[in-house]
This record gives sequence, C-alpha cells and structure tokens, in this order.
Amino acid sequence: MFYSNSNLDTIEEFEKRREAAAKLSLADGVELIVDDYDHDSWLKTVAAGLENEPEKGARCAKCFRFSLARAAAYAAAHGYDGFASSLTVSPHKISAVVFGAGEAAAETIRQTHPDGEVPEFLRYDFKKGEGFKLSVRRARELGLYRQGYCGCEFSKRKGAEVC
Amino acid sequence: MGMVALGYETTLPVTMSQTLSATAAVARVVKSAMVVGDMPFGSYQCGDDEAMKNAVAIIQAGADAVKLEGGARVCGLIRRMTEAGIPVLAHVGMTPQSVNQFGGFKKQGKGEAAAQVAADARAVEAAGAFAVTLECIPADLAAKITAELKISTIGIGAGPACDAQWLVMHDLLGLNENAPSFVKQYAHLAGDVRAAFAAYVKDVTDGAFPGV
Ligand code: SF4
Repeated sequence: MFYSNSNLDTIEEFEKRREAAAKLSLADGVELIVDDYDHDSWLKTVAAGLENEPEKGARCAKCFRFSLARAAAYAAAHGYDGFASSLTVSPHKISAVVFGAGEAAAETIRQTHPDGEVPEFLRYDFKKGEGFKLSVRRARELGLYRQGYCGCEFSKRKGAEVC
Repeated sequence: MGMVALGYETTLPVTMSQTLSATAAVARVVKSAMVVGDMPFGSYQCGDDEAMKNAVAIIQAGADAVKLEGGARVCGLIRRMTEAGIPVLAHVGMTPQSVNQFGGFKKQGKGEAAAQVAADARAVEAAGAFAVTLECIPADLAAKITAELKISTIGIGAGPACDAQWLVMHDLLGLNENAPSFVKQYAHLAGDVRAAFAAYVKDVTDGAFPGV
C-alpha cells in the first residue's frame, strides 16, 4: 500500500490519514510505504492558476496525475508489475479521469524505461458493486479516521464535497 | 442510425433489415472494437421467440452482442438471450423507442421516478446484462447507479460519473446540426461538407473541373 498525499493542506491531516492507512495495512497484512509529504511542490505543480477550479475540474485531474506519477515511479523502481488507485472508491471522483491519470503515469515510465519491464496501470474501479459503502463499513469496523474534506485547501471552501 | 443517418424523426421506423445491413457493414471493417447491434423497435416486442430469432440474426450479421431497451419488463428476454450465449447490453432511463410513452425525448428519473430507474438497472444486471446504457437521467442518479452496479454503465446525457460514455459519431463530428444539448462537437464537418459541395458545383459551372 503506497500512501502519497502531498495534496493535503497540513501535515496534521497527512498524519491523521497516514495513521488510518497504517491501521488498515496492519489489519490486511500488507506493507505500508509512506511517500514524502511535499505540499509546496504540489501547490506549484498542480494548483498554481487552478485555485478557483471546482472539484472534479482541471485541478483535480492534475492532482491525480501528480500522486499517480509518484506511485508509478515507486512501482517501477521496486519491480512491481502493476499499480491501481484507491481514488476510484470515492463517488466524487470520476473513475475515467483517475484511469486517464494512471495510464498517463504508466506511459511516462514506459518512455523513460524503453527497454525495461514497467508497471502497468490497473483500471480497477473500487466504487463498483457498492465499494464505497463497503469502505465506509470497513472504516467503521476498524475505527479509522474519516476525512471531512477532499484534501487540499481549495476543497475546504463552503459547498465543497466531502470525498 | 435512424435519426442521424436515415433521416427519421425517431428511432421507431428502423427495421430489422436496415439493422442487419448496418451491422454487417460495421462488422466488416472493425478490427478490435466490440460490435453491438441495436435491436430495432418491433423486433423484440412481439413475442420472445421472435425476439430470439432477431437477436440471432444480428449476431449472425457480425455483431458481438445486442442492445435492447427496457428494465424489468425485458429481463426475461435478457436472461434467455444470455443463456443462449448472446451478450446483452441493456438500456434504461430515457429509452428512445418509448418516446411516445414519454411524450418526447425528455429527461427521465427525476424526483420519485429515480427509484424506478435504479430498480430497472439492478434488474437488468441480475438478469445477466453485461453493461447498461443510462440515457438522459440526472447525473447524481447515474453516479449512484454506477457505484451500486458491478457491471459497467455507459452514459448518454447522464453526467460524467458513468463508467463509459456514448457519443453518436455524427454528433461528435458535427454532421448533425440538430444534436441534443448535452452533445459536444469535436469538429464541424457539416459546414465543411456544404462548402466542399459548393466549391465543386462552382468549379463545374465555371469550367474549372474536369480539366480538358
Ligand atoms: S479537491 Fe481533492 S482531488 Fe481536487 S485538487 Fe484538491 S485534493 Fe486534489
């Protein structure tokens, strides 16, 4: 389980969600890999000029690309065959856009490793078959922290959706 | 096909023979895409045996699957076709072949009617459909159905949350100048086509074509 959340507006929120990921990884017996928290670079690369975009807009598509590029790079460096994204579990995330970001990340890796085996992006849609409801139930069972906003400071605006 | 290629006001006049020749033409040129033959109005409303024969004919014309409209009321047929090895793409919400019942091409599933559309989507999944088209229903309802079902949803005028999107080729290319409001045009070929014909007529009447 690769935890990358530089989109989060504060380190406190990053820690709360990291703890939840740690509990889940322990419960499921999978290793947790925690990526560096680098919100400044996220602000520069993703949000600059797109601060007023609504959720599900252009900023979010770039945000998915930012995190999935880091996941793809990690997967490639450590010999994984593939990677998927739990972003698709949210009913507020358009899976087609997440898939587009994942495939773009995989393609970038492919271009930089022309001769090597590179991880494939797996188009796994975790919200299908009531996946979101299952995730809520699981979070309740494990006593996991549940986020009250999507993540960045721009998703905290009044009227923004909880993802 | 009926409205964008054959000039009909609705899809109702499309016949089985038109469907079969269009299916065969598409199947001849497609290399990797899945070909789905749309069962025309009347081809599955006059008895299940006749519907089965028509579905078989569409598959024999080259389709990989058939599409038919309706929710719970067509589940018996979906089950029978699936058991016979014919994959079925279902279609709920604003089903164009029921335009006369709806009183026009109007958005369906608003307010209390949402529960019926969701129940229809659940029913076609249970009956064995491999995917379902959600046409012209509110985006939040389409999102809810997409999350609930295991099979894929394909939206048309149903918001961005569906697993996949329909866009009629003629609308995408801007060949249909009366496209529905939810359509996005990626080219405006109708204007180019008109200009090309006007240039041709001018060349002929000016003596510039054909050359001597
Ligand atoms: S709203 Fe969520 S997905 Fe969109 S940019 Fe902010 S953190 Fe990323």
